[in-house]
Amino acid sequence: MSILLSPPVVFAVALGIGLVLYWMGRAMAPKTNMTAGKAAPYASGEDVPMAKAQFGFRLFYSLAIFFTVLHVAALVVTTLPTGPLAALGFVYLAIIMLAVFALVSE
Amino acid sequence: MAILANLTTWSRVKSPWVLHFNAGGCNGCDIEILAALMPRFDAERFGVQLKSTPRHADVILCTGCVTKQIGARLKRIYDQTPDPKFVIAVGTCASGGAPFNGCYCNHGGINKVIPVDMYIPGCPPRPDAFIYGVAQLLAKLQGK
Repeated sequence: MSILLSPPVVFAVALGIGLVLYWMGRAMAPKTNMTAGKAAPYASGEDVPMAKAQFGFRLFYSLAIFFTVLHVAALVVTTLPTGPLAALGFVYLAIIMLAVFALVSE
Repeated sequence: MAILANLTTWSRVKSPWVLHFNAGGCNGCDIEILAALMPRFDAERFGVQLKSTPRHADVILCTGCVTKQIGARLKRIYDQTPDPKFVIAVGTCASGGAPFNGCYCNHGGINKVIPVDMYIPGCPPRPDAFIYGVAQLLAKLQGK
């Protein structure tokens, strides 16, 4: 019974159900008659002025790496073994501080 | 496949999602449509739900005579509604263009631009007339 609740099996079952629903939807849906109006983006019937744009992910990546570093640091510190090795956590945190400082100052 | 067809019809009849489109009316019919969707008349008990995009709608509720300016936009929105789609012309102007029929600035009724499945006359039609029209459309979908 426990193997049925293991993540890979649950994932495979969920994926299978999703595929069945997808194929059922395709079988039930009528044929699409693609026209220029249908393919156009919806803007209350208006023409959408097209323009090229480039997304800026620079700030996003800085924030994403910042939170990743902090989360990994919290995970590592909370799972440190007890004993003399625990002192190494301070060294690790010092490196993390440097990494965060580099991110913030950048 | 008959089971799938029955399931499709059942789900379509139980959830006719509507898009409200004013093609050039005076807003009288629009106010009555909103009244029909509010709790007092509660068209939502039939599964009627107002959507904000034609991509999610089964039924287009059109009011007003179609002005020349909005005709192409109405056609595009009709094209953007997925099949099978149904159009209800709400009000006298939407049904036949009167009293603006023949005016230089409009096409006339909704059926001059897109095919119409149901006409609800009135200036404006009362919310219960609107609900009766929707019920007729649902009965038509069920093949009754």
